[in-house]
Amino acid sequence: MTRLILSLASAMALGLGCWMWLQPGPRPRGADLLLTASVSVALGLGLASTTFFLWAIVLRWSPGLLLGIEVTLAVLLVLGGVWAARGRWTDRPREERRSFLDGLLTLGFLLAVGLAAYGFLCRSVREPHGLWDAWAIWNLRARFLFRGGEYWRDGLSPLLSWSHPDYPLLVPGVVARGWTFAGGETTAVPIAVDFLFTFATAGILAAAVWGLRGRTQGMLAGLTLLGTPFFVAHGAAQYAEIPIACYLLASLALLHRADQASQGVGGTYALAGLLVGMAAWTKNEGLLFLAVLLVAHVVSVLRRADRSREWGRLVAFGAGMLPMLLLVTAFKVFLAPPTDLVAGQSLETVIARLADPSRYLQVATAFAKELLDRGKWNILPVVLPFYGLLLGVQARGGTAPGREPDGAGSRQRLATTWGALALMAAGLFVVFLLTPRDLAWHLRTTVDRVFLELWPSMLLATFLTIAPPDSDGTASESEAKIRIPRAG
Amino acid sequence: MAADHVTRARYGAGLLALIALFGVSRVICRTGPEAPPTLDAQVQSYTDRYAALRGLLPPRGTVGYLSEGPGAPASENQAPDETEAYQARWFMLSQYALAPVIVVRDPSRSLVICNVQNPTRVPQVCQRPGLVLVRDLGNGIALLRRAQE
Repeated sequence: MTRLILSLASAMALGLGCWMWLQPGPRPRGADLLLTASVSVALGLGLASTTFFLWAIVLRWSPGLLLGIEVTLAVLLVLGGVWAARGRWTDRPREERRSFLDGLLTLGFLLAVGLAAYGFLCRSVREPHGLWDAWAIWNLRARFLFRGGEYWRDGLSPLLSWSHPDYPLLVPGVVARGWTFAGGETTAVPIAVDFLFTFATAGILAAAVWGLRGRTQGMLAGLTLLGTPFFVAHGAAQYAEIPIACYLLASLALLHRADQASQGVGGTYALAGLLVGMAAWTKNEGLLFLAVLLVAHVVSVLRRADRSREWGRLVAFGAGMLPMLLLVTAFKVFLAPPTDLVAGQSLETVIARLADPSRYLQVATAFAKELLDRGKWNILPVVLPFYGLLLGVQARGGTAPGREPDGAGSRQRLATTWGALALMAAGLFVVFLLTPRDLAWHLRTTVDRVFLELWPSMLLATFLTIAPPDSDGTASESEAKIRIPRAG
Repeated sequence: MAADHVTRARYGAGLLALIALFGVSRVICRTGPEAPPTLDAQVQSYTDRYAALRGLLPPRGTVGYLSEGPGAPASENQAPDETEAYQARWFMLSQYALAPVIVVRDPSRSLVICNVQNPTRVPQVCQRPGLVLVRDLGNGIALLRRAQE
């Protein structure tokens, strides 16, 4: 167990080092501290998984040496970050205004974290190998990486088509890495990895909204995510939906953060790009998100007045994304069999499916029914729009220390985020329309999980759009007449 | 007007927080110690059955898989379509247990695993022309090999 904890700590230190190197700043406190810790978890697990895969699986070099390099690199990066921020490391942020509601919601959030952790652990003890797809896909692939030695590629054989050998390897990689450093297969590794991803996601959401809209709104956002029963239950299922949801959320949160930061913006964009790349290395939907976010980004840049600065940011975003994109491309081209949703599809069948109105109705009905499933989503998809109507739309942010007030750029970022999420939902709609599998079965077994991938990001966009409950209401009421975030 | 908004907002936020806390409590209720056992809770015991077989298989390669036919019920009260899902589950769990050896539903392979739920049915299910019993592990799992032609 000690070796497992040390290997996870090493991964997170690597994430922290990368974070501090790419965006050096004052010593993080409050929202920044929570965001730093939470993103470092996701970043570290992604980096550790990727380097382990390339080093120990593909190149067959010594894993022990890798651990030493990881720790050294993490220390150097952290020291480099502190050195780059010298002089600002001891800056004190402005004090945040505290209210009774603020304290109450913070308490509620902490209570929810405790209850959710208990629920997660109960479920993990009862089902230590996770649910069906966990052992049939993700942990099975991890076993091939761990047990297969030089024949690890057997796990990508088309003979295993039922287990989707075309799926990317971030999650199996991090599990195989944990087993390697722990000295054997133990269910504690996938449980710990999913625990970290689940609570890092809640941490990123709470911290991002706290940093941009104040603590009250941040705690409410985190509480709402943990109050989604399917989120916590599925976290313990050891599937890849929570990790990909974490990466999607983290990338969007960093893009919003970059718009409000005055320094280190290029590094933040590069980090956001890296996180999107990690989403693509987690599940195929990550590739769709990567494409959608790039399109939304380019459209957003074209609509802005200061395009030269925005192109520079887009280049930083692309540079961060590039290493992971190269890895995913190499995997898809040289290693993985074709994706079953694409393989064998002819133009005639695609056109026939697109021209079939009954399929549109079937997919739309499944989407709508899913949102009304109280067992999975509580009643949040119904309650949140009413909550938004009650409070109105946020017009002025900047309640957090060290952040500039919302400007046109931030409002445009919000529009870009909503646009990306809408495009993503539309893309998934088309994937269902075109599926070669039995549509009813595919919808029944998948819709809830693809919604879950987007849910934390939807909550981010929602809580950045709705006015915080502790705002004075003057700005939000004027904006409430518009009801949509203004662009430009 | 601003005061109205603040009051309204506080009640709204409080209500939303209560709804969220109710959602977390639902996870606890479903996963507490009294929750009924699920099939996924039996993965360990199911795959442990293969422990002895792993030593008899080569370190890598492909082996065939035989089991009860799609119509064979796993328990008395099972519907046929449910049985099929169970069969798929057993096959996938066999692969999970035996990785990195690849398991395929093809009894024409030189080595074939036979997996039945009731150990007394091994002779009935596993006896096929051209297949010779190598070892009956006594727990519903047997290893067969293709006879030399």
